Amino acid sequence: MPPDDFLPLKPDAFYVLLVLLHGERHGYAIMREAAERSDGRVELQAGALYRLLRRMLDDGLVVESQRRPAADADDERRRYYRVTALGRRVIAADVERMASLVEAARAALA
Amino acid sequence: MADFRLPPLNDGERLYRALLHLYPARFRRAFGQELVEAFRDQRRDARGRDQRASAFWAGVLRDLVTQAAAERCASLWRAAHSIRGINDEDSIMTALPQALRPLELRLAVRRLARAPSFTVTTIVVLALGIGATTAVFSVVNGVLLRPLPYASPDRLVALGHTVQVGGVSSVQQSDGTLLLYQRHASAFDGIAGWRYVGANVAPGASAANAERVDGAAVTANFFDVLGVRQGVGRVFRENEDRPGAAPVVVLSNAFWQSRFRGDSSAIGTRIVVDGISREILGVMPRGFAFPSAATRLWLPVAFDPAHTADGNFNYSGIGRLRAGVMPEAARADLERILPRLLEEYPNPIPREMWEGAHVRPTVVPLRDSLVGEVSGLLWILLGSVSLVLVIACANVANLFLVRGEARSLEHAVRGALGSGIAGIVAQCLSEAIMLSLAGGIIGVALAAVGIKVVADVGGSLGLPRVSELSVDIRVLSFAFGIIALCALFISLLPMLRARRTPIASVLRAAGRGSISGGTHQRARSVLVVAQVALALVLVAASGLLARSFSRLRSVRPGFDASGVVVARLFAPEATYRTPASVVRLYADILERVRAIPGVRDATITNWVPLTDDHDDTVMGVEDHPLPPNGVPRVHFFINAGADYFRTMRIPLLAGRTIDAHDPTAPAREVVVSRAFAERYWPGGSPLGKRIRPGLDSEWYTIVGEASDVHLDALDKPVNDAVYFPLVMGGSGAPDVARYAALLVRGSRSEIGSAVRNAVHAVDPTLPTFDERSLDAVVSAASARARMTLALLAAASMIALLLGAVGLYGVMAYGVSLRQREIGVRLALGAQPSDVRRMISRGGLGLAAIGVVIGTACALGVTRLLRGLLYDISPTDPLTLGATSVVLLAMAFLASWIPARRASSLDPVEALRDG
Repeated sequence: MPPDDFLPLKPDAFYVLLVLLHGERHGYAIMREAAERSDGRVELQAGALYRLLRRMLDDGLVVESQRRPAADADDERRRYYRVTALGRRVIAADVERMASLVEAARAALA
Repeated sequence: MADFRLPPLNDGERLYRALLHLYPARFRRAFGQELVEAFRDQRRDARGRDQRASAFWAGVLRDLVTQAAAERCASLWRAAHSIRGINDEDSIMTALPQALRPLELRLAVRRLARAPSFTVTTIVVLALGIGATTAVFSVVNGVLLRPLPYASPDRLVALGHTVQVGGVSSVQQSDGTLLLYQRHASAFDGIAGWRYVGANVAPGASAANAERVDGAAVTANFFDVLGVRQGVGRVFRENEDRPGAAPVVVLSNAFWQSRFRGDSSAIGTRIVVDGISREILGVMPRGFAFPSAATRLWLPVAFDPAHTADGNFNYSGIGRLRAGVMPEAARADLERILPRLLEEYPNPIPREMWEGAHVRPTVVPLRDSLVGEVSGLLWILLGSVSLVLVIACANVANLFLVRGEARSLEHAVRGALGSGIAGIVAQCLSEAIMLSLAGGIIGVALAAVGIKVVADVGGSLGLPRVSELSVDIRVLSFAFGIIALCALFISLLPMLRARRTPIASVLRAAGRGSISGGTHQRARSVLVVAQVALALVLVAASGLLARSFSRLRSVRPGFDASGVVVARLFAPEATYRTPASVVRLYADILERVRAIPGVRDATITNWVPLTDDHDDTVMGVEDHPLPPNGVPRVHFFINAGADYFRTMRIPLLAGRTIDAHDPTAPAREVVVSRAFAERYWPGGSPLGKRIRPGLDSEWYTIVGEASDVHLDALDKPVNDAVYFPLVMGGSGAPDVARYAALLVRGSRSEIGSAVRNAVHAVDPTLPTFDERSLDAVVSAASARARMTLALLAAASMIALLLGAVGLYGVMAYGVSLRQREIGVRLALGAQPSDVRRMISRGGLGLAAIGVVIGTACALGVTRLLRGLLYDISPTDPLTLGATSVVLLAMAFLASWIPARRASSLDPVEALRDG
């Protein structure tokens, strides 16, 4: 599917991709960081997050990472996720979309 | 030493793990472990933040439930898409319009006409199911759902009071409370009061040959509050409900038609009501039936603000809320006003006692108060007929599967030749639509007949609003809805099968001359299990009602009803001005009645047990003085004429009865029931003690103790009652009941007309009414229970029958499929009895699964019946056990015939044909 088919991203999906742009994360880390980066506006619960991940995995926006972070920080039981090339293109396209919205709105308000 | 133990599993985590099963299995396998990890992390953080456990769990549970539900929907959606086959056009969405094309429907009719027995069976089953469901729904609609037929009905409320007095928990309105509220309440556009009255109405200007009609005494603004206008003439004006106002009357349309043939010149003429000539002001429009469908005329009350009886709550109150006012706000308004009652309408009630009674106003929507206790009953009935409909549909679906099976070769050939699945689905759907439609139309016609029957008998069962019942647009939409659902339901399984018809294997099997139906057989077995389970729920419910009813039947009312006839009469004040003249009238009547050949005993009373008659009052007991601020207990109050106990055959346990009923010297003696005696003097004798009705009347001495009687209902405990003499009151102002009932015990049943003649001979202006046997009174007291039982029993019989037919169908078809196998078994030396056992066991096995599931459901469902049951638990093990046995017996019968047929197969023929 072309990236535009996923737009606009819902806030929680946007933040999940945004968090994963910073590197591989496991589920709970995604929840925490999404909350931090959105100043608490996106508070994902576990079930909601994993359903979102399930859809993103199905759509090919994220994949499960085979690599592990540094050995001491690793936790054997956890699975880590990273963003795919398609995922990058999707969030980039959404950022573009929002940027042009902002631009148009600014021009109108000026 | 290192600790190798895993982190301990605590209860919270165990619970969370268990709850993860709410998610679809695939999702759980993929993410379950991670969800548990996240749960641990979250909880650790929550503890770090000192979050309350309840808040934490609320968040977790909300997430779990909503996400699990969403994920389940998503996985269903995916499944639906995956069976959609190769191209999207082959979906139900495209099959539906195709199925609805006239050509397709015409072809369906033609196909169905070629299978008349299938078609007729299906239509009959569906018509019964849809008809019963629609009929009950139209009652639910007319009684519970439809707004009252008055202007802005949502603003109409019923006004009453709750009290904390021994023996009574709620009271209605007195003239004092109504006048007070009318004067001060600001939350209402109007407040009106009414009460039922009966009236002797004479046909002409004289009082002779009067007939008894039902009426209502109402305040002058009664019709305005309801928001109805007269059909002809006018209704009451302000102050026509005060003492001394000109005597007037408003008639119902029915009464006007029957008495005056709808002649409008009757307006302004006079009729004699209870001996008083009243001017006819107007006629209400056809269909106006408040307070009841039997109401023939409305008389104004005569409230005297200077002389109120604040403590006599004889009136019902209705109010019209101001626009935008909620009932609770209106209640608060009334509660604010009520304390002024004793100041503005002086009364002998001591203030402390009034306050001790904790009188508080209630305001409920008028519709709810009219419908009252029947709503639960109606919903239960609707539930049961819906179950019958589901069972009927399951049966038809079963027939459809069999039919689909027979045609699977045809379908396969069509598929092989390139016909889309949509074509096959459309074929099936169009047949289902035509069958449901035919069944539905017949069903709605049946329902229309059923409603007429309900309207005729419902009133006597205490069903409110029956005169408003009809098939309206909502009922038709409901019927149309269930027809559509039926069509979908019965064609669903065959449609799903059609998608998966393995063309090649069907064709191959057809080449061998046999079509195996293994998977179809499983689908049908599931249907049969469901039918048995649902039937069990219904049979269990009606079993419970039957047990409850038989217990109710064995309740002894406390008197002997056989051979007693009841006739009521009313001695109007206009004719019989003094109590003495009333007593003389009663004495004359009794004298004549006792002279009738065949009459053994006769008496007169104000209260026929187990009817709507009711009289109660607070009573003081001399040796039980009230505590300060205490309120005396309310007790039932019966005026018993001479020979009362002998006529009713109520055994006297101690003492004697009251003999003197002399109007000039009223006897201050009473007889009390055993329950009354036990309440005040447990273990002791009540004889010689003194009690008094009201607060300040003279004391009455207890001279006798009678055994207990069910006065107001058979399914409630016996009442503590006090029997007063017919003539009461102080020596200065004797009082006697003007509304009375003659009770006559005779050896012949046809003394009714003789009693009527006897009354007529004493006073030709005095009609007798409501004549019936006391036996009929007693059986009417359990009429509603009997009716409920009859309806539910009918529903469960149909359910049982349909269940049996379904099971039989599956077993018989299974036998026909296994002919070859059975033939082989027989050929190899199996005994017919072995074959019989094998087949029966299969049927019983299916039924047993259904019984287990059904029993579990019944345990949950029968709780809903609690309010209808008398002296029996909704989970009565005996009933549930017996029900299971009945279901299994039915299953045995239903599988016995196919089993017999299987065992009598000729192996040679079976092998040749199979």
